[in-house]
Amino acid sequence: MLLKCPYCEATNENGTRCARCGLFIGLDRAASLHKSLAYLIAAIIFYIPANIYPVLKTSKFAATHGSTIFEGVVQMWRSGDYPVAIIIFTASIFIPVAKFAVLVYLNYTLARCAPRNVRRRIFLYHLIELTGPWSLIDVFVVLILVALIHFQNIAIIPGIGVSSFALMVVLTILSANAIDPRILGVQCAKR
Amino acid sequence: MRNDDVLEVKIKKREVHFIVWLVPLVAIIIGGWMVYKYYSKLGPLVQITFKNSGGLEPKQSIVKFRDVKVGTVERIEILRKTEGVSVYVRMDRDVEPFLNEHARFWIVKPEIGLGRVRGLDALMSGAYIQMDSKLGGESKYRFTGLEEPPLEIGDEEGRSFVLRAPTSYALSAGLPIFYKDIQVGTIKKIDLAKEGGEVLLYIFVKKPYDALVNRSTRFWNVKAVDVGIEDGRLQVRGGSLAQLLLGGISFATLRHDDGNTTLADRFYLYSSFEEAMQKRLGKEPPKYERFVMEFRDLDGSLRVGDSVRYRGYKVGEVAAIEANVSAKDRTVPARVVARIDINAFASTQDGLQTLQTLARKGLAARIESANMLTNSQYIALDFGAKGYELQKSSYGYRLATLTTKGEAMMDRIKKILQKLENLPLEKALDSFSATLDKSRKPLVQLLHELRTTSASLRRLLENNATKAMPSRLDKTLVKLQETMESFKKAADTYGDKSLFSEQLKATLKDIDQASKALNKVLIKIYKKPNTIIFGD
Repeated sequence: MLLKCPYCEATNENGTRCARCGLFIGLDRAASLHKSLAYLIAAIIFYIPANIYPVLKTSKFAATHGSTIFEGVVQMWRSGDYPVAIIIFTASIFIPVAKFAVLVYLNYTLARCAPRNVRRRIFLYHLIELTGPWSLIDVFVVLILVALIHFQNIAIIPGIGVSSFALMVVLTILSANAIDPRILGVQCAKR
Repeated sequence: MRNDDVLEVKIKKREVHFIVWLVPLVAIIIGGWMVYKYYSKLGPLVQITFKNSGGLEPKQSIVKFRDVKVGTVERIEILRKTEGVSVYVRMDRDVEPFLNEHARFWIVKPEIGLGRVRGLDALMSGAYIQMDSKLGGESKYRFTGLEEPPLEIGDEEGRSFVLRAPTSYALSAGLPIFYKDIQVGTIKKIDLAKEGGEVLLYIFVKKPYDALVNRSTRFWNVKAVDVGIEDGRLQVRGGSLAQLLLGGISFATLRHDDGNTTLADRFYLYSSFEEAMQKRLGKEPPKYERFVMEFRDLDGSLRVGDSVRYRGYKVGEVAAIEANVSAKDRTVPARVVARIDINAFASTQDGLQTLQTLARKGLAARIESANMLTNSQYIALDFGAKGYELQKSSYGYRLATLTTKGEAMMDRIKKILQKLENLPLEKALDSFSATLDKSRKPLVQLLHELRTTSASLRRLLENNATKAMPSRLDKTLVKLQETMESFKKAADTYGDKSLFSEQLKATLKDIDQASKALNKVLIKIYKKPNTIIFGD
C-alpha cells in the first residue's frame, strides 16, 4: 500500500511514518476517534450557551435588548422576512445540528468498527469538510454589524452567544479534521 | 533515499489521547460556568395583571426597581375571563426577596403636560414597569398591577396628607407643595369624594418638612395671579414664574407645638392665602353646610360668591341664587343658597346646635350693602325674626329672612345731606373771618418781626465775618427760636385751617432760604472746623 505523506507529499511504501519528514502517516483509528469525539463533545457543550445567550445586543438609547439565535429567527419570520429567517435558521441552527448528527454518526461507526456504507460515510465526511469554512458566516455577520453600526445612541454589541458559537464552529471543524477519511473503510484488525 | 537518515520519533499514543480529552473538559468547565451563570441569574417568572398593557413590549420592556433593571417582560397574554392583560415578567434572582406582599407594580409611561414631565426615561426606552417593595412579608409571584403610581413610594421618606376642598381649583397631580415658597412635596392624586360634594387631594410632603404639618396647619391654593380689592386698595399678588405657570398648594403652620396629625386628619384647602389666614370665628377647619334663605324681593346686586357675615365675620358665601319675577306684585322673590361654615359657630358644642339656639332667638338673614360705589352686597346674619327651629329642606337648612335695608340706607344718606344743608355754615364762616380781622394786627406784627429776624440771620450768614460767629449764631438761633415759638403760639390760635397771608408765605420762604444758607455754613464747618476761628 502506498501512502502519501499529507505534509511533505512524499510517497511511502510501507510503515506508519513518512520516510522523509517523520510524520505519522499510519492509520490510527483510536487516535482519530478520540480526537474527533473530544472536539465534538466540546463543540456540543459550547452550543448550549451559544443558544441561551444573546448573539446580538441592540442598544437603542437607554434600552439594551438582546436576542438569541432562535429568537432572532422567530422575530424575522414574524416580521415577514422569510428569506432572512431561512438563511439564519439554516446557517445557525440546521447546519450545526446536522453536523453534530453526522459527526456523532461517523464517530459511532468508527467506534463500532463497522465498515459498512463506506461510500455514504465518505460522502458525509466530505460534506462536513465542505461546510466547515462557511460555518463562521454568522460570526462574520455579527462582527461586521458591530463594526458598522456604532452610532451615538444606537449600537450593536456582540453577546456571549456569538463567542460560544464561534468556539463551537472551530471545535466542529477540528472534530471533522480529526477523522481520517481513510480509516472509515478500514476493517478493525483486532476486536 | 537512505533509510538510516530517518530519525525514528517515539510518540506515545496514549499521551495524545489524554491531551485531546482536555478540550471537552475545558469546554465543560467554561460552558458549564456560562450555563450556570445564566440560570443563576434567572429569577422566578412573575405574573402581573394590568387593565391594559400600556405599551409594554414582550422581550423588550423591563422592570425597574430603585432605578435598576431587575426583570424583563417575557410575554403578555390577554385575559379571557376578566378584563385586562397578564404580563409575565422574568425577574432577576437578586430581587427575589423583594417579591412579597409589599411589592407593587405600575406602568411608567412618558407624560408631558403643562409644567410637568414625568417618566422622561420612558420616552427613550419605551414604557416600563416600576416596582416598589420592601423586605419581609410572604413571598408572592402573582400580582395585580396598580393603574397609577402609589401615593407613597418606599424609598421616599415623608408623609401623606388628605386635603378637602369644594373644588379642585384646577390643580392636578404632580403639582408642587410649597412651604415658604420652597417646594417640599407634590400632589399625588386628586379624587372626588364618595358623595361627590367635595374634592379630596392627596398630597405628599417630603421629610423633614412633613414635621411642619400639624393640626394648626392651613393649606391654600397658590393662585397664579391674585387680584383683589382689599380695604379699598387694589392688591395684586404674584408668585414665582413656576407658581405663576402651574399653581400649587402652599401651607403655613400657625403654632409649631400643636399636636401631631395622622393620615386620618383631613385638612381644608382654602382658595387663597387671604382666605386661609383670615380671622375666623369658631373652630378650624371650616365645615360647610348649605343654608337656604327666601327673600321676598331681591335686586340683582347680590352675586354668587358674596359673603355671608355674622357681626362682621365672614362665615360663608352665596352659592346659588334663584330668582323669579312675581307678576302679582312686580317683586322678585328669590331663593338664595349659601354655604355657611358651621364650625364658625362651634364652641364647646357643635356649630349646628349653636345655630339652632340662635335660630330660636330669631337669627335671620338680611341683605346689606357692602360698598355703595361698586354696589356690592353681602348677607348679614342678624336677629329680628320670630324664634324658629332650623329645618333641613332639599336645599339645605332654612334660615329666616329680614327685609332688605337698602331703601333705608338711601334715606339715611338723604337725611345726612339735609343735616349738612341745615348746618349754620355761613354764620360760622362769618364769625371765623371776624376773629381773623381782630387778630390781624398782632399777626402782622409777628410776621414782620419774623421777617426781620430771618433777614438779619441771612445777612449774618452771607457776610463772611464769621470770627465771632459761634456766639452770634447762637444768639440768632435763640432769637429765631423765640420768634418761632411766638409764631407758633399765634398760629395755634388759628389752627391748621387759618388763612395764610402773602406775608406769612414770604416769611416762610425767607426762613427756608436762611436755613439753606445755614446748612451750607454747617457743611463748611463740618468739612473745615477751623473756619470758625480763622475765617474762610
